[in-house]
Amino acid sequence: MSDEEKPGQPEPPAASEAPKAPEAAPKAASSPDPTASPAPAAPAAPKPPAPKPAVPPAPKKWEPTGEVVVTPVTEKLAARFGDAVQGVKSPCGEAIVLVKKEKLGEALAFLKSDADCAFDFLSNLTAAHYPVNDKKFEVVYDCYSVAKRHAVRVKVALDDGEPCPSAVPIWPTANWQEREAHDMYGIVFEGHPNLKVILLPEVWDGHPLRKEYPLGGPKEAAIRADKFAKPGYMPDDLEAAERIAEEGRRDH
Amino acid sequence: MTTELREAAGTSPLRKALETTTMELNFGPQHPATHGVYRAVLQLDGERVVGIESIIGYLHRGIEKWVEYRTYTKATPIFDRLDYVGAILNCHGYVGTVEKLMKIEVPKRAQYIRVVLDELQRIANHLLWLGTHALDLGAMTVLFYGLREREVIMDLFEAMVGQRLLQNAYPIGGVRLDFPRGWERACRNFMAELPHRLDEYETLLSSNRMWLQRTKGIGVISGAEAVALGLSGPTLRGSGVYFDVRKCIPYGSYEDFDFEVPLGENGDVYDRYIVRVREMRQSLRILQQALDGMPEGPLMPEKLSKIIRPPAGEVYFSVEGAKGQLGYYLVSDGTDKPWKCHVRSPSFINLQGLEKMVVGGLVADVVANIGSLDIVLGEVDR
Amino acid sequence: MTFESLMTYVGWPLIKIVILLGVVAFCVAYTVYIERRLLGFFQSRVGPNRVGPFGLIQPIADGLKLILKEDIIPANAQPFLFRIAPIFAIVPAFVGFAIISFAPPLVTGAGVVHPFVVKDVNLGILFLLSITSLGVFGIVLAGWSSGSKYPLFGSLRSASQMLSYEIPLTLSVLSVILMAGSFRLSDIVDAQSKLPFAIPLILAFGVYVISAVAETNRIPFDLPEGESELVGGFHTEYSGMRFAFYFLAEYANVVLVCCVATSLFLGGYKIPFVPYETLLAAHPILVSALGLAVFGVKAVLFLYFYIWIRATFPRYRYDQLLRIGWMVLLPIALLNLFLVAGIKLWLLR
Repeated sequence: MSDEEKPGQPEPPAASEAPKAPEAAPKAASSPDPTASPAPAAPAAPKPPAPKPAVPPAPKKWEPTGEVVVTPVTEKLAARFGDAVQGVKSPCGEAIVLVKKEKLGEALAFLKSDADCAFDFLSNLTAAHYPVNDKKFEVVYDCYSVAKRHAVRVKVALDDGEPCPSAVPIWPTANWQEREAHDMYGIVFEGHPNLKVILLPEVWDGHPLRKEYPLGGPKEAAIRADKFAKPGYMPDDLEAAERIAEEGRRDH
Repeated sequence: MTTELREAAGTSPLRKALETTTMELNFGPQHPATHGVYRAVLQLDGERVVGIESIIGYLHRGIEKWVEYRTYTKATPIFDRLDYVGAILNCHGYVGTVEKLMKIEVPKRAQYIRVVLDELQRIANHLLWLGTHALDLGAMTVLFYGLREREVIMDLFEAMVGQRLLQNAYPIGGVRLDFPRGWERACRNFMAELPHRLDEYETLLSSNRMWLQRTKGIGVISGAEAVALGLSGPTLRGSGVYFDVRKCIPYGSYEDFDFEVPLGENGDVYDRYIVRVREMRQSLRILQQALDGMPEGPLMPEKLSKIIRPPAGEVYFSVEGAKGQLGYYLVSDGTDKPWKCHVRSPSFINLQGLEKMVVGGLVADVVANIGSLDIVLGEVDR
Repeated sequence: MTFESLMTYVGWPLIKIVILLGVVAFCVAYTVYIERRLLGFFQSRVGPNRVGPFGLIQPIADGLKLILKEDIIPANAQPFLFRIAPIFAIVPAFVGFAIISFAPPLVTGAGVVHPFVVKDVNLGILFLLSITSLGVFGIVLAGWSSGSKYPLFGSLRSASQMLSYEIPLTLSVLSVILMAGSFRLSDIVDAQSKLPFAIPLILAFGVYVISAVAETNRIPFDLPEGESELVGGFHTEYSGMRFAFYFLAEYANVVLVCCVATSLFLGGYKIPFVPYETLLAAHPILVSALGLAVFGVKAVLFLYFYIWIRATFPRYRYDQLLRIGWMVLLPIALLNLFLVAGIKLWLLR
């Protein structure tokens, strides 16, 4: 929660459970997190990336709520890979495991080939950006077994720029999805046969789904770059920003 | 020149004389048969396709980013813009995801109403698909017949939720309004009419030798390949793989209904066609059961706050969209806006299968195959 | 040279040509209208009904629109060939009408006969076949000179399609010539006073109908245009009046094929077993008018059948089309020809 420093808001004491949002909290975006459960509140970065130059809240790690769900598949994974696999809490009863990057390729291949797992269908592959976590990116694999009708979600945490082994040799369907994740988050998939832009124009700058991506496009990026360069930046310096943006565009 | 000829020429000087190059043909993005701004760069050896590269993204609107700046409630209508001919199913996918994350129990009547609208939407989608697919192969009349029936469904939607194409049909938690007076009768009239209409289409197509020649044995993809490529929906079932989210990962009371999942045998264009046609008949069965067994009760859960604020965590939920498995991966940080939302859009992933289907075929088969995938570019590019 | 001979050899033919051109152009324009209306009815919609009563002025409005549109010549095109190609397409389509006799000759006084035909050539059929095959040049030139890949594909397809279907078409027509014993169209029509050739020559008629559909590039054989694959085929790059030329040429070919089919197989202006020409000999104008009407009705019925096909069938694939031409139609046409020749010989014996 971005506004941990404002705990003094009126809040009915009854509203203590997560799904029931307090009725007396119309200022939705700025109200504090009502989850009074033991799980700590979520990330510290403010959601619209344009930061108020206020006191930044202490960075808190991303922590989901709920329970770790154990299924035969996760047990099997844990038995096979030991510490490299750890369960992730899920608020709605899904089996999620976080796999260390070094073991990822092996784990995915195991999930595909093992007779009890038989995850022949990679339902979904995507990435997510958590700027406050130690490892800022996650790649998420939603595996499903058409034969066995069970599912598991495998996640891997990555640093910015850290390559991730490609899942294309295991599931060809990962091809375009990895290209999309590459477009949107800049994650590099090692061993991908054709890792180039898919949804964005070929000359696109930046990775739009990253949280710090400027919604205003190159202009805003230039202004922000300028702003970070000199702290006393005043907004009337738009011409300079425009010029920078123009130069940026000309480079392509 | 064919490869065999070239090889027969060996290293002789003849080979040089016989040498030909492939031709690059830009298929789209403005093309009558690509169903939108899809572009395929074909490598052609005469009329034969030796390579294809799909270029997409012309309709990318950044929906996934956009959603991160909307509250959960305000994000709902945005998803209608994905697959704009199957909007209700998109909406169901999204609200279902939020409901799953928040563990909201949707009232039984609301679930049944959703099933009714979902299946109507599926029929509408398949009708439009049937028409455009037939038009791609030159049979123009079916398009207008399909549109005629789809129009009735649009009217039903308009009476029910006030919109025809992008309905924003469901709020998170249930449905807004009950059926208006006379709606059920109108719906039943339509349901009584449609089987005859479907017979009509099948007379025009299924028993037509030209149609069979254009579709049988074209774009064959085996079940194993289809699963590996992540195809889903009728495209996958055309290859004979039993995977229907309504049956395999039941949601929204689909387990209450008795219906079959039509499967193809060869995985060719014809099978994908016939699977969809049969699916419309099965949808009618579901509709019949849902209307007959409509339970009484509330439309929204009683204890639902105005502000949707799911617990921190992630969720993946999928529905059987019109095109295939329509999944939503949603990450909540405990605030009233999604931290991340990813759509597993079936059109996008099914389109990957195109390469396997068209290489080795003729140019005309590219059109047949694109049609048989039933892509909507709004969903491919998001 | 006297005035009379001048009139006989130049004047009357010219007048006839002008009248025929006008009538054919009118018919072609309204063929488009009829097709759109009929397609509308086939497809449970209305069709053009806004311009004039029942939309009857629609073809004129369309023509005006096309004339007023910009004539675009692509940068990659070969300008000269690109410009003249439509003329190659449209001229043969209209010239073909010259030999068709639409009605019994008008007899005004003893020995003064006005045939309803521009020129009843004694090798009429051969002339027709050779002229209509020239039409493919317009298409090939268009594809080649457009400097674009889709038209090139369209014209390549067209060339091979025309080549494949010319042969069964000619063979089926040959059997008609065998039956009638003459190349002259009026003789062929006269030979059908008792029975239209469509009945004894049912095989040839079938082959002719299918090949004719292919020759005129219509669904299910409209591959040179193949809208969903090749965008517009050979005329993708054309606009305005030049496009209208192709459009007109296509429909002129359709009308021509209908007229030829009527003459060759459906008995032309004859009514089977009703020798109205002798019955009404006292009223020559009535005879001609009735003949014209009979011809028109037959041609329009055939046209209706044509449009019906378009509304019903999907499109064949290129290789399938060629296979049908060479593997199915050609043997049937040959078989039919031998049968007819054999029977004829046997009868003559």
